[in-house]
Amino acid sequence: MGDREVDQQLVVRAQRGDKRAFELLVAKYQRKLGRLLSRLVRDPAEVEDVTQEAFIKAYRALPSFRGDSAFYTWLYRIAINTAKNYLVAMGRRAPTSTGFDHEDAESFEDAEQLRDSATPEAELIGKQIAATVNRAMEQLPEDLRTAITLREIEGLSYEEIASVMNCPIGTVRSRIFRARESIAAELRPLLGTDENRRW
Amino acid sequence: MNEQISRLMDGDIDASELDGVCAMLRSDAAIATWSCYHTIGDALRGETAVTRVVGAAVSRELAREPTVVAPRIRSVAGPASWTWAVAATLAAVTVVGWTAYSMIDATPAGLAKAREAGTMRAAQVRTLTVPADYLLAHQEYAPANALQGVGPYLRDVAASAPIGPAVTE
Repeated sequence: MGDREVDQQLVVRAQRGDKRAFELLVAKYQRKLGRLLSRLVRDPAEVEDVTQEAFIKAYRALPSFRGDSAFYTWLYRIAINTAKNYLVAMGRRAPTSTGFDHEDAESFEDAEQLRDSATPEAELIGKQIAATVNRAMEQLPEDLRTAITLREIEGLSYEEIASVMNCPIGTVRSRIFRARESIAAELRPLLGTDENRRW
Repeated sequence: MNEQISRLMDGDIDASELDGVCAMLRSDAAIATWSCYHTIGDALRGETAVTRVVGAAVSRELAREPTVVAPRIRSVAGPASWTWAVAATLAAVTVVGWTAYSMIDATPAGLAKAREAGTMRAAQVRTLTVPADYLLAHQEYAPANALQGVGPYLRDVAASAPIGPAVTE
């Protein structure tokens, strides 16, 4: 089961009335969507509003989602339309569509531009998260660090990681989980300090 | 519990396990873990948040939304569907083939007749002679012909008056 299939299973559950399943999708994609919308709506407070509105619109439109495209691609279209409507309502012109092709939905890297639009608070939190994760990574044993790197950065499957690291899949599964738990132990206090918990 | 969340994130969950894992993910603690693991992945890929996350706010909004219940999406065709498709194709081929075969007179007498008919037709084509002037005169009535449209032109040329001084009254 790949990433798309996991999303699809969560969507099916949400379509059957399971709001928690949709909340998992929100938790998964909120940062990615926020980053993308930052290109359209520059004000950080407005980005939050539009992101939130996009998720609610997506939830209402769930019955129309048939799984022909990936969930995130579908969500991306809704978010872009929400942002454009918002800008029109505010009397501002939306950027041309050429800069927001659907391919951007899957691979968007424009950190410098995004940093410009971040609030000082958001930028600080982002830096703290990155520093905490990097520090925790350095403290990991070599095999755990390699496993989580191959999974999260290289995007390899468990089978491929097992082949690269020359170990059973069960070992890969265990190493990735232990790596995540070790990093999460460092990260949880930071995520829980804000009054709006970052789940 | 957290190990199953980790596996679900990576798609390492069988369909049979999915219901149990999703049921487990109803608690706030489980969703917090799910979110935390995704935050780790985002950070490792350099995708740290540039705005405050909106999960909690969306959750509050969702609580006020009427629950969505959509018709079930048709699942992707599985092995059973392929089996039926192959069986239907074989059945169709069998019926058409059997019908065609039953219409053929495969007895020696029938084959001899067919052979004889073929020979006669070939002979007739070879000996057929049509006068050239007849063909030329009837070109315009031919439904498909390389000279189609030329026939009337030729007739007009033949009917035109000879060149000479104009007749005045």
